Amino acid sequence: MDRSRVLFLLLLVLLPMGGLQARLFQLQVLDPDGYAPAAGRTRQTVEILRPPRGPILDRKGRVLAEDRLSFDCSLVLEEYEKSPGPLAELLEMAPEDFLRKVEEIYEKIEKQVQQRPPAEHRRLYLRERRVPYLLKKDVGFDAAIAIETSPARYGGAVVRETLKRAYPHGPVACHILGYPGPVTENREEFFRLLQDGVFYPGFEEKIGSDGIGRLYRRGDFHEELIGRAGVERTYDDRLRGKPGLAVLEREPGTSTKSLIELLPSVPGESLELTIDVEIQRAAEEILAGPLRAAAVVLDPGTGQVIVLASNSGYDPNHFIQPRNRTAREAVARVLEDGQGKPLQNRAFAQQFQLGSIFKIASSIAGLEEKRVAPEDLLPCRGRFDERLQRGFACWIWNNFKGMHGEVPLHEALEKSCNCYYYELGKRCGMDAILKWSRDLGYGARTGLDLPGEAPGRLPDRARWENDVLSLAIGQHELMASPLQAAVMTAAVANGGFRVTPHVRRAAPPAPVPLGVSPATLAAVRRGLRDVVHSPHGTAHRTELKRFNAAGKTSTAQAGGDRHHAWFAGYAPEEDPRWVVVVFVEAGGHGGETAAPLAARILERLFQEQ
Amino acid sequence: MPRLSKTVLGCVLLLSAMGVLCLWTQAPPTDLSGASITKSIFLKHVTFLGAALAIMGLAALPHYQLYRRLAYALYGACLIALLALLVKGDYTRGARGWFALGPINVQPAEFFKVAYVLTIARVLMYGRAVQTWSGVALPLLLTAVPAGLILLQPDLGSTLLFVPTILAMLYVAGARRTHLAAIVLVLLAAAPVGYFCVLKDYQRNRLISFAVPDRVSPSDRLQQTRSVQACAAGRMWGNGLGESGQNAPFYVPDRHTDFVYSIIAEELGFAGSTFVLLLFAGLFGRSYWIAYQSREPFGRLVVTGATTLLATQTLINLGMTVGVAPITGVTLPFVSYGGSSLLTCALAAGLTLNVSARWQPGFSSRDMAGGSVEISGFRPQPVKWLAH
Repeated sequence: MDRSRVLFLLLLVLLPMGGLQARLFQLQVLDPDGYAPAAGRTRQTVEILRPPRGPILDRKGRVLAEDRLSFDCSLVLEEYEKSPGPLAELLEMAPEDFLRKVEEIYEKIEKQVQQRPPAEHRRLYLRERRVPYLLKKDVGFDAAIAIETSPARYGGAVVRETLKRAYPHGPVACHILGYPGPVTENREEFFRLLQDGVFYPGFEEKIGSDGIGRLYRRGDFHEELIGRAGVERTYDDRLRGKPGLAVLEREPGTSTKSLIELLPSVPGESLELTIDVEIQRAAEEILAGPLRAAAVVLDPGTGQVIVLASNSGYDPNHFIQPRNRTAREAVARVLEDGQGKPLQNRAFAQQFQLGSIFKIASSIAGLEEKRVAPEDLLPCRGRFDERLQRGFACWIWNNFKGMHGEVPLHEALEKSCNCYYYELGKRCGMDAILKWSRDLGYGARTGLDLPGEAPGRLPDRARWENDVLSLAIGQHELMASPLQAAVMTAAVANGGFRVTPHVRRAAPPAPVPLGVSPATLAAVRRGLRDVVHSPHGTAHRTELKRFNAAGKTSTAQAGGDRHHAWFAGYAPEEDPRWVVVVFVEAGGHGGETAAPLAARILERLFQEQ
Repeated sequence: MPRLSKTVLGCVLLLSAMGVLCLWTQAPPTDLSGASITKSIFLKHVTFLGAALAIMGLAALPHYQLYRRLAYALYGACLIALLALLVKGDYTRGARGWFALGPINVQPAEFFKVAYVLTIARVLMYGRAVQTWSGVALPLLLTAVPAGLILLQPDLGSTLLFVPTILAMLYVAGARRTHLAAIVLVLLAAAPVGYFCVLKDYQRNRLISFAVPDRVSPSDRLQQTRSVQACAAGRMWGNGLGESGQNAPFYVPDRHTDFVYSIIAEELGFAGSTFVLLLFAGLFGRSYWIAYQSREPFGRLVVTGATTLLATQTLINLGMTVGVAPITGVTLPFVSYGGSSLLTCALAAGLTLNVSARWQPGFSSRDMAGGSVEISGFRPQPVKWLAH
């Protein structure tokens, strides 16, 4: 082994280091300008390219929400005066119109300046003349490109590209659609999204983390929008798309920019809903009136929501920035209305006393637990038990001091006999009724893909012996949203499956079979048909017969004299295609107030066919 | 306490300090809201650096013959790790380079380099067979297998480092010059095959962009062009600490890892970059000098291998930063951000320090107690490890 060989290696390493030193000398001392000519003088700008939000379509492909692109042309007076270009031609404006517009800008500046003390005038004139003022809105793609590519030719012209969310149907289905809002409204969420990197996907490889930091400090991420309500919120990830990035460099002395880095943006995906906007609009018009009301139309087989109407709402267009004065005032009105709660959709975001519609669930519980048979006759003597202090009495006793006599199940449903269900409840016991109510969807959110769903309320056990009697007729502590009533009705209509209602047209969770026997369903459906078709049925005096509907009315005690009016049913009776639920807050008798509205909605549904 | 080489230690510490300085001026703040000034990358780097320097000290403590005994075991363990990596490693940017072990990512390829140097040194230390082809074959095989595995990750930069290392160690071990020339020729002949069959598109692109800049788009060349511009912008005295990238905001992507030298060059200018270059020259010069002085073959080979590894890495990195070598993605020892690379470099330096403390000529009995030999001549030591 020859030790001196190590020294040769040392030489081999030191030689290239000498070369590096020479290279550094060349770069940094001999000719730094040759290698970094632009350093310190090129102007780099980084622009975030915001993609359009995905459009929202209804079940027939009609556009419910979309981003509309427009280019606005502004003018910087200082540069315009130096080299006025053929801007009027480009913008397809008559020369006198154009000059008048420019004159208006001068006047605007003049007006602004005059409001300040004279000492500041000179400075303000200078400043305002460097600020772009709006010249023409929506100038068209070709003109925008022409200005962007050769700004020297059109001195002073500045193009702003704007995207604005638009809801062509205005307030129709507003709660379902929702609206996007500035992400900074919720600081915590903003910082969480910021840390997760939602606003700058893939930016790090292009501009590094310090570049992202600069964008942040410039406030670029503060302008991001995020869904604030409705499907705009639920499906924000799909709709939002991915922002892109353009790094532009401007050589000193020229005004053309060259694109040196581009990360294209990815537009948001479109979202197809199960809603039918025309029927939704019709339903909202049918519900219109002084009383607060809501309506649900479901496809019983799949759980697709066709209508979720509530008769107070807002126009989502008013929530979209930039807002004008009318929009600001409208939003303020909506936010201040604490009584009507126009931001909430009563059809799923609020819960109410349900009343007799719940007798459907009680019937199923009684029949399935074999506590009653469909043809068993249970007595109604007006009052259920005279010994009880609280009046467990049938409505016919309360109103007319009458009684139903001995009735079978279908007649009890038809006439909405309370005493039958007191007896049924007593025989079943609390646990059986609670089990079947939970299976049918009460006491828990249905899984609708919209934010803010009301869970409803179901007692978890009987505190008093007689609680079960009240529960069996749908009173006691029971609360439900119209949507929950619709899910239960759908289970009767579709042969015993609990569906998950949904507004996005995509594969939903499969309906859950509840194990209800066909005999039970047949008995209940017979009762529901008689409600509409039999001359003594509670909804007999309505148009519902015409549409071959079946259903159940409800007049729910809501404290004091207030009674909520409900109707829940389906049509056509033999092969149900729609489940319809109508709710009118403090509307009085269900058969008189709610059922006719349901008939009108059904009429519209059959027309659409 | 063994007498560690002050030059090596000093150079390593000064280089590490330069790295810390650069990272402080470059690392973005952790919290984007700007409320806090903690810089997570900076803190991470300082933590790793502390650990690395501690490990360097620990590596210098036991007599380095311990490593000779452990060499094969370490080699085997790292080889298994490399194999496992190909099966279930974690992907980042298209390469399976690391395992996630709790909060830290471990790059087996980095640690393998140290085990590799120890193993080759152990194989070559007797130096008898190295004059023949059959003697050269074993070390070459021990190189080719792991190099192939690392190339599959793919990590071209790390793979390339093995070539000068094995050549240097064979050369110092006494291999024939004709053999070495033959190996170099075979490698050169294989290069076109490698270029077309092994390299990925982006790697080819880097080579093309270096050789014929006009063939690729400006954005493909961006990183290196920017790096060269940044270096030049530093001029004689630099723009001052923390002043880099002020004029053109997004200069060099990944600046704090592979292109860290461009920060030094821009902020401290020709003066600063020359200083760092001198530190490296001092480190390598002193390390080779230790190898030269060492009378014991294993120690000499270890120092040769470790130093060649670091030197090659340094030359490639500096070359690509100033635009005279293609981009290969190797870090700058002790300066770049990156835990695994820092630990490997510290281990390599630790081995050099270890040898420096034990096989230098000494004059006093104190030195002999430390295991040194007298200047008068080689005194065989009655220790177990010599009787193999």
